[in-house]
Amino acid sequence: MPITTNTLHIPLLTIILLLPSLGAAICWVVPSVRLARLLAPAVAIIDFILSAFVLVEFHLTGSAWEFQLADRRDWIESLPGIAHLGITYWLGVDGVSVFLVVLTGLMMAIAIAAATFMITERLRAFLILMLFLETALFGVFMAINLFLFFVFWEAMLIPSYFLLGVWGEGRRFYATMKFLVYTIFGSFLMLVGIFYLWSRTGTLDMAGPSGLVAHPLDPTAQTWVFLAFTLAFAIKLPLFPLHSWAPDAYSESPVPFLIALAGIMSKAGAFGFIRYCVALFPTAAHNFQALISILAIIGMLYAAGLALVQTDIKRLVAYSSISHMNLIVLGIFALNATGIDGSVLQMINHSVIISGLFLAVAYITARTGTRLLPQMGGLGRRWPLLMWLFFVFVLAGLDLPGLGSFSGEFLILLGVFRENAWYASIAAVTVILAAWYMIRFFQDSMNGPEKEPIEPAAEPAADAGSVYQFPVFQRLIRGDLLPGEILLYVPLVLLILYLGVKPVTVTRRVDPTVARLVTLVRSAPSPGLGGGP
Amino acid sequence: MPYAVYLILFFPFLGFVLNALLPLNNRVVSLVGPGSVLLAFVSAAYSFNWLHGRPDTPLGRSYDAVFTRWALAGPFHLNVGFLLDPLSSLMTLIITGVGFLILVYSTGYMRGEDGYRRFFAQMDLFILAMLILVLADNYIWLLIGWAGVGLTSYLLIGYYFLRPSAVAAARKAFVMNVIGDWGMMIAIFMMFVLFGGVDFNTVFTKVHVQPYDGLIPTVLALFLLVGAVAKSAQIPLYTWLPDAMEGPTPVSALIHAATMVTAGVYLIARSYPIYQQSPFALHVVAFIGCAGVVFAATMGLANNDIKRVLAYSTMSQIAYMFCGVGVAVYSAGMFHLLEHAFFKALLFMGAGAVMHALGDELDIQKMGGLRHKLPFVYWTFLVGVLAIIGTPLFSGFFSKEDVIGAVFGRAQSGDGWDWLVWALLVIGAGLTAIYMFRLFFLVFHGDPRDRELYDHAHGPGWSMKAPMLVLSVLAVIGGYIAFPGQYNLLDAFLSPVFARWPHNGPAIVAQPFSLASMLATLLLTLVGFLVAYAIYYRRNPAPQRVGSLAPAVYRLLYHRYYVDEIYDAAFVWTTRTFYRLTDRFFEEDTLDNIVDGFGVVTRLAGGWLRGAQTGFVRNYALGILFGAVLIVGYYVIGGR
Repeated sequence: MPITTNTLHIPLLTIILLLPSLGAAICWVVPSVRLARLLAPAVAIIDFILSAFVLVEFHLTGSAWEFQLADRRDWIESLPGIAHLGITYWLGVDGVSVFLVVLTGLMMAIAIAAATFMITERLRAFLILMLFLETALFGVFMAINLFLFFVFWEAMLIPSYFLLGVWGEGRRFYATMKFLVYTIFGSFLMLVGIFYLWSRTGTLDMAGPSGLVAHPLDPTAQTWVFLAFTLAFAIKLPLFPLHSWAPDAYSESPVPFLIALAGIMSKAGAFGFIRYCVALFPTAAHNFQALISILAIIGMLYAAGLALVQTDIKRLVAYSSISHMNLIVLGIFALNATGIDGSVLQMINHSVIISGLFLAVAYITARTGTRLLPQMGGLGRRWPLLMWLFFVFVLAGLDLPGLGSFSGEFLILLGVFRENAWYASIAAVTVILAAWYMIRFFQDSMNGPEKEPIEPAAEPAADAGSVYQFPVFQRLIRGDLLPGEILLYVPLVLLILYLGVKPVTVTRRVDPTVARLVTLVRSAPSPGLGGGP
Repeated sequence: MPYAVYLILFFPFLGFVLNALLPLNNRVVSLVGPGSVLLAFVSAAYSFNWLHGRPDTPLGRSYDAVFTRWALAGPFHLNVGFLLDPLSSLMTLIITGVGFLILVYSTGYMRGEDGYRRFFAQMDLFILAMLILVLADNYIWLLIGWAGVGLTSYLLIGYYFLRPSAVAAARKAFVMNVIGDWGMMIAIFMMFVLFGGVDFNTVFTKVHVQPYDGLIPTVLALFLLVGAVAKSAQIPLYTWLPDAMEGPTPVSALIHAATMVTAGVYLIARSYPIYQQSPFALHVVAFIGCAGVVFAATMGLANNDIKRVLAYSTMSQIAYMFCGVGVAVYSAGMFHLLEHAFFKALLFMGAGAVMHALGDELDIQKMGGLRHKLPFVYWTFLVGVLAIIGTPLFSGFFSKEDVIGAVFGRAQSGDGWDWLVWALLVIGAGLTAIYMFRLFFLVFHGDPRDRELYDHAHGPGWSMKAPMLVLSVLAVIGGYIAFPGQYNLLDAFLSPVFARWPHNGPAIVAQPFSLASMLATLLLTLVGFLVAYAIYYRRNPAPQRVGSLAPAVYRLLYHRYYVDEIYDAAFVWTTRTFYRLTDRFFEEDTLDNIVDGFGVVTRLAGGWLRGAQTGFVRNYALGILFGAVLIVGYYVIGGR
C-alpha cells in the first residue's frame, strides 16, 4: 500500500505549520506594538494563501483517499532513547483534513485581523498567543502520527488558557477553569488510550502498511480505547451532555479568540471523531452508533431550545453552536458516506456561520454596550448595513435552503435517514426551533420599536482581581459598520452563498476519503448492532 | 431556443442584484424593478411559444435544461436542471405576468415610502425564488425556491420592520412555513431512500411500482402535503396568512394571493404520480380543501379588516384548488389557480387603492359610500367581486365550475366521499357571495361612516389604474379558455404533463359537464348575494348590529374560532415554558452543579489529604510504621 500519491518538492505543510509560530516570535521582538499589529495579520493571511495551495495541490486522480503532500522527518526517531516509541514527525492531508487546513488558515486570518481592532489591552501578547494557537490547530489537522496529534491537541490549550483567562469578560475565571478542567480530563483519558494502542501495536502512525488503520484492535479492546478517545472529542465539540463548559466559555471569550474556539477548535473534536474514533475503532463505532446518535439528537433539540430562551445574545449564539455541532456528530455516526460528507461540509459551514454570528454579537455590543436582547430593538433603522449582513448569517444559521448550511444539513440528515428514519425525522425538528430562535434573535435586536438610545456604559464594575474586565470595545461606535468590519464579513458571506449553489466543490473532494473510511467500517467485524447498507 | 428558460431566471436575478447592491435613485428603481420582470415575462412567453411549437407528445412538450451538478456524497448525487413543460410554463407566465402588473402598480402605491429600493429588490428576489420553485426539475431545488419565497414573504410581511405587529406577523409566517419545509425535507429523504434520486424523472418513474394505496406512497404524499398546507395556508397551518396582511398591499396581491400561496397546489399537481398512487392521500387533500372552503369563508363573514377579508377569501379559494387537485382533476385546480391570480390580484389592488385613498385605513366599519369618490376603483372592484363569486360569464365562473363539476363527476362515478366535498364546495360558493358582497357594500355603498376619511379620499394615479384595468379585462375574459360542456383548452394544454409519467389511480381526465351541479352552485350563489343585498345594501347597518343577531356565533367567528389563542397556548407557550424550566432547573442547577460538584469534591479531598501533611516527624513515623505493619501482615496472613 503506497503511503502517499502526491508529494511536493517543498515541505509545504511544515511551512504552513511553523509560519505562525515564526510570526509570533517576530511579533515578540519587534520594537513597537504598531508593527506587531501589522505583522500578525500579514502572517496569518500569507499562511492562508499557502494553505489554499494545499487545496490546489490536492489531487483527485488515482487513490484520492490517501494522504497527500506527506512530509515525514526522521529527527524524532533519531533521538536517542525514544526511537522505539513510535513517535514520528509525519504530516499529510486527506480529503477531510485538507478542508480543515484551509478553513483554519481562513478563519485564523479573520480572527487575527479582528483582534487588531477589537483588542486594545495587551494587544501584542494577544496576537502572539493567537499565532501560537494557529500552529497548534494546523498541527492537529495535519498530523498523521497519533502522538504528534496529541502534542498539538494539548498545545491548543495553553494559548487558549491565557486568551480566555486574561482577555475574557465577566466570569472569565470560572469559565476558564471549567473549560480547562473539562478538556484536560478528556485528553488525559485519550493519552491513556494512546499508550494502550502503542503497547498493543508498537506504532502510532496512522497510515502506511504497518499503521494503525491497517491493524485494528480486536473488538473487545476497541470498546475501551474508543470510549477514551470519544470522551476527549465529545467534550471538545461539545456533545450533549458534556457541553456545560461551552456556554460559559463562549460567552466570556473575547470574540477574536472565539472564532478560533467555536470556529476551529470545536471542529478538531469532530475531525477527531472521523479520523480516530471511526477509523481506528470501526467495530466500537458501530456498537456505539445508536447511543451517540441519540445523545446528538437530544443535544440538537436541547441546545436549540435553550437558545430560544436566552436573553444574552452571546449565550444564544453559543447554544446555537452546540446545537449545530451535535448535528455534525449525528452525521458522522450515520457511518455512511452521505452523512460523513455532509458533516465535513457542515464543519466548514458552521465555522463560517458561527464566526459571522459571534462577530455580529461583537458589532452589536460595540454599538449598544449591552448583550441583553430585551435592551435592544429597532437597531436596523440606525445601522441598515449591520442589519442586512447580520441577516445573511441569521439565515445561514437557520439552514435556509439555498445557503451553504442547508447543503450540509441536508446531506447529514439524508445520511442519517438511510440508517434510521426516526432519528432523521426527529432531528429535523431542530430546523423549526432554529428558525424560531434565529428569527427571534434577529427581530428582537434589529426590528421592532427603537429603544432609548443607549449611553456608553460607565466604568465597568471592577470586582477584586478583574482588572481587565472591559467590554469588547473600549468606547461605543456610533455609526454603521466600519470598512474593517465589513471586510471581515466579505469572505464569509461569499462562502455561504457559494456552498449553497455548489456544495459539490467540497463533497467530491471529501468523498473518496470518506468512501474508503466507510468501507473500512462496514467491513469491520461487527458483533453487536450493525446498521443497514 | 430553449435557453430562454435561463433568461426567465436571469432577468429577475439581475433586477435583484441591481436594486439590492447599487444605490440607485427611485426613478431608476421604478424602471429596473418592473422592467426586469417584464423581460422575464417576454422570455416566459417566448418559451411558452417555443414549447407550443414542439411535437404534441408528453416527451416533446417537456424540456429539461441541465444546469449544474449540485452535490455528490456517497450514493447521493444530483444534477440540477430546469424543466420546461406546460405546467411550469403556465406558472412562469402567471408569475411574471401578474408580477409585472403588480410591480407597475407598486411604483404608484409605494411612492414616497421609506425603503422603496429595498421593496423592489425584495420583490425581484421573490419572483426569482418563485420561478426557481416552478422551474426546478428536482425536489431539492424546488425546496430551495420554496424556502426562498418563504424568506421573501417574511421580509415583505415585515417590510415596516419597526411596527411590532408586522414583526410578529413576519415571524409567525416564517416559522409556520419552516414546519412545512420540515415535512418536505422528510419527503425528500424518503424519495432518495426509496427511489435513489430526488429529481422528478427518477421519482415519478419509480413511484408507480410502490404498492397501490400502500403505506409508503401515502406517507410520502402526506409529508409533501405538510409543505403544501403550510405554504398555501390551509388547515391546520393557515393562521399566518391573515396576519401576513401586515405587509404592503402589493405584497399581499402578489405573494399572498396570486402566486406564492398557490405553490401548494402546484406542488400537488406536479407530484401527481405520487398522489395517484395513494387515493387515501388524495382524499386527505380534498377533505382539507372542502373543510377549508367553508371554514375560511365563515371567518371572512365576520371580519372588519378589508385585507383580512380578502385573505380569508384567498384561503377559501385555494381550498377550492385543493379540492380540484384532490379529486385528481389537476387541470381544474390549475385553472382556478390561474383565474384566481387575475381576480384576486385585482381585488387586492382595489383594496390597496381604497387604503391609499383613505390614508391606510383598513377598517371597513369606517368606510362606506366610496363609489362616489372612487368610481374607477368601484367598477374594477365590482368586476373582481363578480368574478370571484362565479357570476356566469366572468372568469371565476368557469374555473369554479370546473372544480365543482370535477368533484361532482368523481362523486357520480362512484366515490361516495366526494358528495360531502361537493356539498361543502357549493355551500362555500354561497358563503363567498355573502362575504364578498358584504365587503363590497360596506366599502362602496351606503353612507360614509367616517366623514373625515371620506372627504379626503382621492383616486389612484395611472400607474395604479393601468394594471387594474388590465386585470379587470383578464378577470372577465380569462375564463374563456374553457367553456363548460364545450371545450377545455387548458386541460388539453396540460394533458401532456399528466401523460408524461406512468401512474395508477383514477384516470386524469376532465370530468363531464353536469347541469345539476352548475345550477346548484348558481342557486346558492344567488341566495348568498340576496342575503348580502338584504342585509348590507338595503339596511346598511353597522357590522356590530348584524353580529348582535347571534352574538355567540358572531363572537366565535370574530375571534377566528380562537385558533390563534389555542395554538399560542398549545405550542408556543408550552415550548417556551418547557425550555425555560429546562434552562433553569436542568442546565443551570443539575448539570452545572454536577460539574461544580466534581470540583468541590476534589477540593475537599485535597483539603482532607492536606491534613495528613502535618510536618511533624512523629506523625510520618507513625504512618510508616502503620504501613509496614500492613505489608508484613499481608504477607504473614496471606501466606504467599
